[in-house]
Amino acid sequence: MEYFGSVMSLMFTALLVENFIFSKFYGCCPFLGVSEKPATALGMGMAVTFVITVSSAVTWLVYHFLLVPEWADYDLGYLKTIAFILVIAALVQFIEMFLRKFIPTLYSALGIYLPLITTNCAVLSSALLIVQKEYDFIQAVCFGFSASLGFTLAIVVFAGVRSRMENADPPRAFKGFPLTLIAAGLLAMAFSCFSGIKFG
Amino acid sequence: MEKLKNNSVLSAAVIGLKLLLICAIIAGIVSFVYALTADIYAENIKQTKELSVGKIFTGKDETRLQYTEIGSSDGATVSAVYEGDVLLGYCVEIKTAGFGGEIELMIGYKADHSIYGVDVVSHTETPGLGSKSADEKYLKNNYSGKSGVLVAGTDVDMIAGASVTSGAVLDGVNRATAALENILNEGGVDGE
Amino acid sequence: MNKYVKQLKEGLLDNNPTLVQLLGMCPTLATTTSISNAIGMGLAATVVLICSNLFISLLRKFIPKQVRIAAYIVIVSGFVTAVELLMRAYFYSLYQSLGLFIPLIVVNCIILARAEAFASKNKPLPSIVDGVAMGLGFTFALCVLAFVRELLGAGTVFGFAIPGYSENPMVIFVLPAGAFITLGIVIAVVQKIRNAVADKAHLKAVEETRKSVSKAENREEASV
Repeated sequence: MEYFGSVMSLMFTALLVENFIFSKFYGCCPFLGVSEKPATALGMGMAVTFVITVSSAVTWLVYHFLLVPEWADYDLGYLKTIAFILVIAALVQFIEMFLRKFIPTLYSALGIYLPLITTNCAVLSSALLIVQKEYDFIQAVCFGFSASLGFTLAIVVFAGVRSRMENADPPRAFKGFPLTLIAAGLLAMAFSCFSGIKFG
Repeated sequence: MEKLKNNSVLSAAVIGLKLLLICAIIAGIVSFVYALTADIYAENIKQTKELSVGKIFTGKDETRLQYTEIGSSDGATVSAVYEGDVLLGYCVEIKTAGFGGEIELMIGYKADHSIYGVDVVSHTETPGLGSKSADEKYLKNNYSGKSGVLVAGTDVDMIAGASVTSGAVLDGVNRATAALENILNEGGVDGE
Repeated sequence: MNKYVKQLKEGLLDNNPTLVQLLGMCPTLATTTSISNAIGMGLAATVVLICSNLFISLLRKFIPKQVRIAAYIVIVSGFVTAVELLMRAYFYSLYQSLGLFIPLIVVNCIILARAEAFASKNKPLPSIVDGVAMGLGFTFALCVLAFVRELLGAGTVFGFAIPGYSENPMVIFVLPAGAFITLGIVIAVVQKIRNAVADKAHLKAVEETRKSVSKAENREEASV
């Protein structure tokens, strides 16, 4: 029961308090790039959630069974960056092929976002964070899932804000990217109200 | 037809081999750099610890300070600190979750288990805000000489604007105290 | 030689990877809380960029087209790991304060973009210059942002406190929200300057066409 509570608290922390976008800046490129419409933002968010959840499990296994196994007397921990990015790239490729073959409806919804995800730093950073925080397997998967859900929440909310700004008429210099960034800043201010909340 | 198939298999094999060769070169470079730097890194970690112990047990002859690990509990590593042969106290290394990531703390205790001093070994807190919790004066005024379970507000002041970080430090210190008691009760060293 | 100077100017100003091309936002936002962090991050990325550009340019005929992205990722992540290992040996405190953002250089879009757009098509020497130019452009952008944020948010410059202000600074600027807002304003200033330059060029072009048109008309009148 105590374990369940600790996992729940870790999930809420990853979702809101240490939100990937608004407190850690992981995955800002797709956050600023693919958030023009709520529908596409949701698609991107779901694709990221899917990939991060699977990759958290796979990279955990790779780290604990290949790089730093308990029973062996070698330590290849320093190779984790290379190993993880290769695993993620292969995984994204594999997920794309799998979806195309077996779940075409899901593929048509997420397919165009998948190639972009390899270079999304949210995926790599969640894999590295799991190693840094020494999570066990269940914690790792739960952390990956809720952290990427936090990413989805952020990008969908932000797309809603941006769709309201479409008809705004800002000064010429602020048009486009600067205005987007400032809106993101205001949203980050709103999210900072979660900071310091302790769950459990 | 047969030939074409053979050709495509061959070219795939060539591509695979080329990729493998690139991986091998990169692996060579990385392991060379690793071999070059591993010892220096280990030395860095040791030096940071020594510096931190030296900072906490000020006024002692640093060259005669020695510490031996006596156990670990709940993620905290406890060492006994000696000056020559005399037991000075204990130091506990512990990690605690701050605002921007992990905070590494080193907490020194006198032989009677009261706090000698607290040192923030490393942190990634916001400069100018959370980093105030790593301020030597703040740590000295709020922690040195105190013992038992400390309470926020009454024993230790929280820093306005950095309540998460100062709370994390307090939490780390309390956990370290608990770990110290735990290990000494199990009968680590007889220094009392 | 002139070509390289032009390349440098391109990377630093005209085609700055961060402020104009808007690449690599994560480290830009995250590591600019202090100038020393910004310089450390920028230089680490520059070193990786130079090494990977050189390596990819040398192997540009050897790397098979079909798997080039995979090859680039292996090469870049190898150099990032090497830089990480060197930093934790020789710049330990910087390594600690940048934390996870050193391994994350792997997924910095600037590096893969330069590999694909430049190094894979050019000779080694121009590729190195391109790495230096883009890397310094990135570092420059980080420093501008970090200078503003550290000055306003912490009241310090290079860690030295500004008396009278550092006791009670506008903390919001070092918090995540301040990162977004400051970068927004900096890019707006850049756009303002670029707009002004573009307007000037446009005006000049209009003026010239008008002149040549009137000249032609004059000639026509003369011939009539």
